[in-house]
Amino acid sequence: MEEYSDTRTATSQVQDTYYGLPAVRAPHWRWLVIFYFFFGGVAGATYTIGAVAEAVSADRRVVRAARYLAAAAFLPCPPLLILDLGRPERALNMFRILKLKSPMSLGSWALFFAGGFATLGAGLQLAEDLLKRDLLPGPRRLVMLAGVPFSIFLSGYTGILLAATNIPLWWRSFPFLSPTFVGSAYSASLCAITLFLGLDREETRDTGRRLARAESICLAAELTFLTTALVRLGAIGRPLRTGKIGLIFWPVTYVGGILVPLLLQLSGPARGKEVTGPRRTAAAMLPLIGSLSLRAVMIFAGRESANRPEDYFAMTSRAAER
Amino acid sequence: MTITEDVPHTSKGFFTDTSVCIGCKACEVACKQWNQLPMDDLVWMGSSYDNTHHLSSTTWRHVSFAELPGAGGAGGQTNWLMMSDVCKHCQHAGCLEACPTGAIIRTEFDTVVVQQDVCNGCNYCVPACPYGVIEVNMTASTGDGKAHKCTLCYDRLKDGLEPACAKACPTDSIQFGDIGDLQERAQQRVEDLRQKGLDAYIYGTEDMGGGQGIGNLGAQFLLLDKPQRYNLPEHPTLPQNRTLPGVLVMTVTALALSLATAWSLRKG
Repeated sequence: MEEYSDTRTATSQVQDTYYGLPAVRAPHWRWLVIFYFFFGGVAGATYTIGAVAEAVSADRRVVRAARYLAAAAFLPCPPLLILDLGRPERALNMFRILKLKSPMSLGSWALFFAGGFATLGAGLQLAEDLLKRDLLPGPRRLVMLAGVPFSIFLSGYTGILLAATNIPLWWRSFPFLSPTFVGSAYSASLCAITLFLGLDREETRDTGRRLARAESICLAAELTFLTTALVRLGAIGRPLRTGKIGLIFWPVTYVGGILVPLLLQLSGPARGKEVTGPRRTAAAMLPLIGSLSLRAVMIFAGRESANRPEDYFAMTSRAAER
Repeated sequence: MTITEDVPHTSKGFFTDTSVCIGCKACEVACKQWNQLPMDDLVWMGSSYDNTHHLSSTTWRHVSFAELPGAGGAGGQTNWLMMSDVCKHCQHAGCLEACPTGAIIRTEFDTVVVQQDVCNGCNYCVPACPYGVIEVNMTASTGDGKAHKCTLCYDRLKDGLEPACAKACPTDSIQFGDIGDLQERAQQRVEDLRQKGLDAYIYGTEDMGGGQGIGNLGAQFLLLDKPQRYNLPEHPTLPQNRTLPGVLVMTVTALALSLATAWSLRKG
């Protein structure tokens, strides 16, 4: 091992960066990518929820809602991604190869297949709605389950995509970023299904209760993963916790998007009665906003994190925790 | 440092000896001329002779000027650390591993090159580089929306010429050649400088600057101070080391939440 002196000059101890200039670069990603992260996550989670709901013979209305919503959430994804490319006309180059170590390559293929299954599911549902009869329920269930691996990947790979970079905040969030995104995608999807079925309707009351229970579990998981990530981030999490981004992150994402809906959902069982009215409406809408804002603050905080060479050098110093 | 035994004869690279760099920027100019790169916006830093700040899509050689005021005690002479930075042409390159289109390839010279006719400007190579080298040119006037970086003058190498920067360097601070030869030369130079009392070391080995999945660097540097003073990380990591564990953790989480949802929704 080559040695070098730590004590050559006073300046090199105080000022251990190159004029504070960034040492790594952030991608140019902004709102197009943020909205893609949101819709892609929701599409993947909604499809998966629909397929497993069908597999356990849950309320058919949930399955129907999930099929339509998965396709609707998938629809904006390809245009958002294509528009964000530096050379949009070369979008198809994503499908020249498959690279197992590149989350971007894996994600492109997952989106391709998950989108195909989501469209197929919505098409089948539409045909059934128009013909007013069940089409091949046995094989359909299997076909829908075949899309689950791709949809699961789509629901959370964006967290891996960010973590597999050198941006200190994204890197340091590993391995909790992707689970946080998964939890957020699932809770947002359950909210979307709840809203699609209509709140406080007599015939979906039991299903609504079940959806609320699933939503509470997913919100609790998301809260756990995000809090663990924040603790792990420590000082490197400053761009997320403080400043303008912090002003969005705490009230909109952490408290408003996760904590408040979770407490609202839990407040019913705690008092021995059902959550209804405005409380239920809030609990079914807030996670959607929280889910979008989570992806927004993560992207913007990452861009700021790239401008902090001291954070990157702290993570790449030999003494850094591995 | 040990000299790698299994480096094929055709592996080409740079050895940049910063101890003889005089900061003339002939390398920057020669690179821009040969590769027909547009000029950058001039931003005066105010504290240094450096006016390009870092490598970019239009600056493939960058001369950094790290000032060490009062080196050797209060009132002492101000020293400059000058260094011509360049793409490291990593043995396992983060940009290449990240590229979803296959635009970034390893050439027959073991260098890393972006195929401009394939790149679609997705930007994923940008945060994947551990050294902040590669950039997608998104500027309105000159930007083509594609990723650019040093090609180690792939076109010149094809014709048996050395890269433009190495050709132009007046002090031979930038040396080009077979990686094995360069590593021997670098080691010799470090020993000579150490005998003269300088804290010289090689940046770009498994132990310093490379390693952790990245391996050795095709462009190595002789440095005289901490790597951070040159805006270089001490011990970076190949970011794709996190892909497979990430997929496993994600899958387990998603399966658990799917089961919990199924349990909540099931009939009965």
